[in-house]
Amino acid sequence: MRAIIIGAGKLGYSVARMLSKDYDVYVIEQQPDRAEIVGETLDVRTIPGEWCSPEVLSQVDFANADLVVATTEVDEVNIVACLAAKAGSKCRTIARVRNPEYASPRWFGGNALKGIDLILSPERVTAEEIAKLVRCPEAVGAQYFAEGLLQLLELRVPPHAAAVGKPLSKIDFGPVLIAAIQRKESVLIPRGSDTIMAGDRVFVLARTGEAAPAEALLGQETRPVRKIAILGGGRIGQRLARLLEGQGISLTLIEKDRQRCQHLAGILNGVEVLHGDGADAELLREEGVGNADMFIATTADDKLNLLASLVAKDLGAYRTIATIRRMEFLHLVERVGIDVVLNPQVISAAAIQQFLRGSSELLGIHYMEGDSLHVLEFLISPECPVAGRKLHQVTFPRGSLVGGIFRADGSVILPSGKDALMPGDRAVILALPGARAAIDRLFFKSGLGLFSSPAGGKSQ
Amino acid sequence: MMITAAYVRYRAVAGGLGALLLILAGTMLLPLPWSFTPGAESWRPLLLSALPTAAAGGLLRLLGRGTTELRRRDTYLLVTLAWLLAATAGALPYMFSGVLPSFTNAFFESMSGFTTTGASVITDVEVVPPGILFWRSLTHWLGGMGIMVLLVAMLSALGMGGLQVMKAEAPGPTVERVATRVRETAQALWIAYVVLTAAQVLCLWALGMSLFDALNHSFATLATGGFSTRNASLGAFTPAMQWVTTLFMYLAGVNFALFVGAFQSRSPGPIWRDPEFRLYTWVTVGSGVALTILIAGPKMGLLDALRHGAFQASSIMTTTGFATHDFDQWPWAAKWILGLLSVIGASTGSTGGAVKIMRFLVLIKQAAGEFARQIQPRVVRQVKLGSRVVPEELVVNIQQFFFLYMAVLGAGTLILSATGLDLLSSLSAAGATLGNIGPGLGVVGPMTNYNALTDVATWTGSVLMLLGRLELWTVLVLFSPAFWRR
Repeated sequence: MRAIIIGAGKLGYSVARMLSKDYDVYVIEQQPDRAEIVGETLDVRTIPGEWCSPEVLSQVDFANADLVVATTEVDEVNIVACLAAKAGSKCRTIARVRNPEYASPRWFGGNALKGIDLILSPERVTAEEIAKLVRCPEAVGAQYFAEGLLQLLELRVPPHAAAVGKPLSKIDFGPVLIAAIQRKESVLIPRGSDTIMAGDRVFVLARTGEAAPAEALLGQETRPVRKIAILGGGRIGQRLARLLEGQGISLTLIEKDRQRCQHLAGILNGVEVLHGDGADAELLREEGVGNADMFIATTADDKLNLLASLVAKDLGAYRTIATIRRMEFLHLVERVGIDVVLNPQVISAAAIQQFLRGSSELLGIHYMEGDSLHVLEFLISPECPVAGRKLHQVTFPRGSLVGGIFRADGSVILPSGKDALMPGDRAVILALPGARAAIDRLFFKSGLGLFSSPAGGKSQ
Repeated sequence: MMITAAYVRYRAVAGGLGALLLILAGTMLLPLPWSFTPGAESWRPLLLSALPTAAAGGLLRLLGRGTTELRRRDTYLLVTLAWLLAATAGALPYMFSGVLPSFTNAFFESMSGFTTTGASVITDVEVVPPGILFWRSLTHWLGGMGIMVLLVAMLSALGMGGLQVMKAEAPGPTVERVATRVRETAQALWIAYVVLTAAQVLCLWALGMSLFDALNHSFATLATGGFSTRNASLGAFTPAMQWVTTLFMYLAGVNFALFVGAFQSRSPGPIWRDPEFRLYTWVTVGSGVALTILIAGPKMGLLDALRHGAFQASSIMTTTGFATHDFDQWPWAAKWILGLLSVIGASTGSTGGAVKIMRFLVLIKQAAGEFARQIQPRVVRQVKLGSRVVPEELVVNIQQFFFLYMAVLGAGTLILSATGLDLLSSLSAAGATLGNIGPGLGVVGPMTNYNALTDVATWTGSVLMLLGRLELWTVLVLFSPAFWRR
């Protein structure tokens, strides 16, 4: 299969690396030195030349591509490249489009960009990811399934937690499922005899809003978020503020460019926009960042995000979240005490992965902890091999678990062996990579899955 | 050399004025059907007035022939002169018919008509010939939506200058373009105006008012004018007619661009969502309720109090100036509520006068932002109306307007009190003329009129009416030296 990536910025690079495992990847890049770096570090073919020039595109046999991903920094170039590709071939197209107005359904009734299969805005998906964490600030990761009715929380277990050291079967967690435990580098799907240890990351699956008792046993302090300080009024900050405004949360947005401040004050409602530099510790102190339930650093400057988050943590902010763009830093940053670190490229790559792997049967796919845990959301079709059977009648592979069933009538159950998978249901499955092939065989009607090893989801 | 240059410069102004006078001469023929009442004929003075108006108009048009380019700054001159000329021409029927022989009084009455003030120097309107009464109401109606807007709607020749001309005349700090072309915008506004007027005429007529009275009162209502054909104003008619008038006064105080927008989108959404409309409605309803509570008592039942309270709140808020009751006899708190309403005024783009709701909305929001800045110097706030940001220059302009309005009100009160009026009467007379309302309190109350004023006071009133209608800047810039510098 042939994939063409236009633009080799940070996102283009991430995507190229991810796709190079399954595709013959061609990367078109205008800047010769950038093209050279990509060609030297990844197993892809680079074509230096103008992003959208017909001459360059003909060199890569544009018409026979299976996938075109346009990730240049110019929205319009990405759009034109994808529309042109779609017009000339049957390939799938993905465009990075930052300006939210282009994705608006108002644009010619949403038909204007029909030729683009996935419109990806890294800033938007990052903001959405952060907004999920605002709903559960104690979690280091949160995913939602079944139209938001089912949540999977990733929790870090502190040494003082009540559940530490006891077998799971001896603890009453209430109506939740302890779905997976990550200990050091490995992930296990626990049985009743397994115990939770301090420092574990525990994945708890629950109906949204019902996880609180279990969280208490796992040593989590659950408290509602009342005050959030956002540093940086760029696209992520703006989008995040928009997502959070009007929910009764006191929001403060700090931005250092005065004109940008005025723009933000004009479009946001009920958000306090402050003009100031996040590197100024005095400002953070004065504006009460220490009282914030969450401090979220979203500027384009990794160093500033890191520094300001540390200052906020030191001042007493309950949770700190930082976006970090440089992949090299990621593992370092989590060690110094920032609660959650998000990387827009990794999140975007995961979104692309989800789009490419998804089908009418596999509605959603999330890769947790890099690649060590897959969370899949299947639609059970009548032809599906497991349709109509009770769970204890099906032999599930080791290292897999049916975590939840979303019935067609809108109810969500955390199933036991007696529950059956009916056609029309949606099943949330957790699987370790080793169990994936067997799971795919059980749930795809053809019995054949598209197993692969992705680059990863969110990194903590 | 200089004369030629000046001539060229003002030719476009002359052309515009000429066109206006020709239109006015035409409208002077409209009252003719009512001018043949035996014993009170008035066709002769009407024709006599139309002739010189048309002649002057033709001459000016001839002078301005061939020019279409209007310089931006000259629009102020054009608009101010247009209103002065219109008021002068409009005074002729009063003088020629002998209703108001003195030019001072006739000019006041005419200016009061065109500026939709509704302040009158006629002691007994019921003896005035119907043709002249009709002309009096018609001046309201022409001035309500704006004589210059009418000119723009009828003349394509004004072209690009049209928007400037409309801005110089428009009530409120902004002009909304409801159509692509300025001329179509002016036409759309006039159509909305005509439709609403016709609706009120039909309502009043259906309730049993004579067609003549229905037309006169509808003209005065939609223009938020206030001239009536009866000495007792709307008090001479049935409660049902008063309620209908209350409703239409309220509608006339709404931004007409909203009506056009609602019609264009086939939904009332644009009206409901407008923040100015919401505040306008709240203030009108709130003050109506407050007045009702204040005036209800042993002498007045609750239903009557509600009718008078709602009517008067609507009448003063929209700067119409109709009365159903002698509010000069009301408790002081009620009178003061009316006094405050007369400064607040109606909406931007309505036919009403005074400071306008939108300006107050911006001032209030700006004040709130200023409080926030005192507490937190780093906070950045934008004054927003709905989802639209009010540009900083406009905020400053509005603050300045409010200052100037208060300054002119103070100066006007000073001059009026110097002519011998008591303080309450001079303050309310200045407020009622500057705000284009009409009746004030004391000597100039709703059941008396401006006839008691000296000539100096009368001229002061005329000037205040013009300043108020053209919202200060348009007239006052003519007095700045920079305007005349070349």
